Formats: sequence, C-alpha cells, structure tokens
Amino acid sequence: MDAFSEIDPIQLAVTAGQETFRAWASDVDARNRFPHESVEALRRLGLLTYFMPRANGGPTDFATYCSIAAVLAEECLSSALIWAMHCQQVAILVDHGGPEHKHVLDEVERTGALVASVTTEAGKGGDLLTARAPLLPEGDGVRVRRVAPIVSYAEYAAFFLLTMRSAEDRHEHDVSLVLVTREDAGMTVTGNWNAMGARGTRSVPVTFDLLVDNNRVFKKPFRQIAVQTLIPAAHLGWSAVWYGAARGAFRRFVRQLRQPENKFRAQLQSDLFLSRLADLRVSLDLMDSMITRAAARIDSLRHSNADVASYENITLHISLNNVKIAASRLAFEVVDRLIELCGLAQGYMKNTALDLERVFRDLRSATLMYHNDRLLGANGKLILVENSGAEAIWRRPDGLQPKT
Amino acid sequence: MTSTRDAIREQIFDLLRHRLRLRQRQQDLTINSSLEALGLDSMTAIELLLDLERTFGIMLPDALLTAETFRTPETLEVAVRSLLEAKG
Repeated sequence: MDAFSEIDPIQLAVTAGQETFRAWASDVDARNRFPHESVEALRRLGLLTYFMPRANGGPTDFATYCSIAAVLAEECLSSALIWAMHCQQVAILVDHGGPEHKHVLDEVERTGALVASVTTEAGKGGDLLTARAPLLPEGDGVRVRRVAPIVSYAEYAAFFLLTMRSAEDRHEHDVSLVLVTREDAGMTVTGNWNAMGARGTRSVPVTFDLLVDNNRVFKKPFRQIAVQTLIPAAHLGWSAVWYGAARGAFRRFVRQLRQPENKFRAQLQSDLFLSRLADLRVSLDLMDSMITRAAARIDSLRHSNADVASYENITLHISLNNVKIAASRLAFEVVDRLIELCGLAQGYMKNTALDLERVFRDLRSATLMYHNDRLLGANGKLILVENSGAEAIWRRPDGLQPKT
Repeated sequence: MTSTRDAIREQIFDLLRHRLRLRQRQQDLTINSSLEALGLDSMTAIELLLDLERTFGIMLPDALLTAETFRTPETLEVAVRSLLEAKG
C-alpha cells in the first residue's frame, strides 16, 4: 500500500489518471454511477492515505495535495472530487482525531476504506459552521439523529464525519464532529443523485439514526477543526480539482492543434484564434497562482505548528474564500469559452476526444458547491473590519471547553 | 437623561435579539447575559458591530474592538454611550 516513499505521488496520480480515470470517465457519467475502477486504482496505488504520516517519509503537504487533485481532475472530475473530499476527512482524523478515531486511519491504510463528510442540513442555509440537530445523550452513549440532503459517495463510504449541535441546550454555533461507521447500522440513503454533472460523486440524501459511544465525538470544537483543517483543505482541494478539469480540457485541445488532420489547422494562422487561445491560458495561470500561493501559506502554518488563532486571521479567511470563488468561476469560464472556440462539432457533442461537454456540465457545479454568494457575503463583512482591531473579536476563543 | 439611557439600552437589546435570533429561539436576555453563551460567534460579532455603528452613527475605535466590549449587553452599552458622549 505504501508506494509514496519510493515514487513521486504526483506521478502515481498521472498513472491513475491516464490508465484508469480516462478509460471510465464517460461511462461513469453516462450511467450516473460511482467510479469503482478509478477509486480502486487510487486504492491500489496507495493514494487514499494522503495526509497520513508515513514511517519512511513521503509528502503530506497541501501543495502536493493540490497538484495531485489537479492531475486526477484532468481525466475525471468526479473521481478527483471523491479523492479530494476523502483526503479532507483523513486530514481531519490525522490532525484532530483521538485514540478512538485511529482505527479509521488503520482501515483506510489497510483496505482503502473511504471516509465521507456530512455537513449539509435542511434549513440551515448551507452554513458550514452551524448545525441544528443536536447530539442526544442516551444511556452510556449518544444518539445521532440527522438528515443530510447531500452526502458525496455515501453509498460507498465506510466511515462518516458528521457535524452536530453539541447538545440540545446549546446554540447552533456550538458544533461538534462525530464519527459514525457503516457498521453502526443506522444510515439510510433516502434518494438519488441525478445531477447535471459531477455525476460520479453520487451525492445522495442520507438519514442517520444510531447510537454511538461518547468517545466517537471529537473533543475539539468543530470550529477549530474547520478553521485549521477542513476549510483550507476543502477550498484548496476543490479549487485544484476545478482548475485541473479546465487544464485537462485545454491541454487536450492544444495537443491536437498541430496534427495534420486537425480541423483547426487553418485557424492556426489566425491571430484572432491564437489570441483567444492565449486568453484562456491567462485564466488557467490565475487559478494556478492563487491555489499555489494559498497552499504555500497553509503549508507554512502547518510546518510551524501554528496554533488555531493563526488560522483565524481575517486576511487568510478572505483569501481562502477567494481561491474558491475565483477557481469556481474561472474554471467553468475556460471550458465555456473553449466550447465557443471549438464550435458545435468539437465542443457541443458528447463523447468527443476532447470531452468538453461533460467537463462543462461537471464544472457548472463549482460556483454552487458551497454557494459563492455565501462566501462573498462573508468576505464583504470581513473586508470592512480587516486590519482593524476587529481581529480581537474575530479571533477570540470560543469559550467552548473541550469535551471531557 | 434616564429616558435616553433606556432608549439606548432598548435599541441595543433589539439589535441583539435580531442578531442572535432570540425571538425564534424563544429566549431573551438580561443586561448581564453572556453573549457568547447566547450564540455570539465571530461572524455574528462583526455583524453586530456593523449594526451598532450604523444604528448609533458611531465608529468603534480599535481600542474598543475587544472581546470584553462584546461580553454582555452592559459592556456594549458602556462602549456605545462613551462614544455618543464623546460625539456630544
């Protein structure tokens, strides 16, 4: 399982992408199914253990995480998203899990088990840092009763990390994270996922009703877990996936431009065509820069074992939101304009060698996945108080005591 | 003087009830309630700050942007009144 120490994981991702993702991406989309073959390739290559420290070294940094995500996404956005989201949960377990959560990491390493995230909830308007359904003490344990409208790859995950209101008498901002396993037997998939794109993610609605041990609840308040790990990993991971998908489409297009049989050969003499092509690359470079810079910033904080207060920096919050906002827009726009450049036969048809039609549908989800409006609204408020003393009221400890 | 103080206090209470959604949660607050316990988190504190500045036509200087200012309705009222008095 542990190939990382010998082989560059980015190269492993290229292998997975070219040998497996590419072969199945269309079928996964057409049949609206989970990408079994691609996930199995990730498993086989040891890529599902990313972020877990390895005895003989190997990268666990955000920069490499983003590079892998982009490489995978060039061939299949759904599979890449599954990988990125699973790794976000692994990072949470590594950074914040207690001894009682360690067996999940052992299972991920041993069998390539998938870990899913449950943060969506009806009626709360998509706010990550609130939760309505409370944890309810029951006997020696805690009852987890939760309805989640969107849980990616729920049908295939072995483990789930759920956000729950800490207790019935606590307010919605007092959120805890709890580990639930498929073996707890109380999870029901209540609907289908039939979306425009990202179809392979199988982001189905799920209901949980089960009883677990108290020690399944993470001791740290969820806000700390989110600020330190989940938000950086989510924003950068998703952005890298979207960027990779757009980059893949662009590369496929460019690669065939000089081939003798290429339909665009005549246009290579046109300055208009070439400058439109070049313009697309501006957007790609912008995404690359934003992601790379933000990943370096997070890696620097992680490397110096920065405390959670450092992650609460208002400017950092604004910029992490902006990476997501920018990449979600730019990636879609690149593919949209590429279709315009290609025309009907090459751009608008399904299942051409360029696969633009599927990538276009896949990327349309990007601005909606944790809606940009919510992030822009938050950033607007943060901008008003950035670089003022408001850092003190923003960064103040939650006053939420760790669970004993 | 007393009625002005009451008016200021009532306005602050109204803003807090709105921001903390106390009516929906059928909760209320007293002058010494812990705002944190009532759900005042980081983003809500910033929204409340902007509410106060707009409502009273003031701007909280850095020195007053502290966790202590936002601890209770009373600490907020003290901060607001000091700025209103300085305005004249």
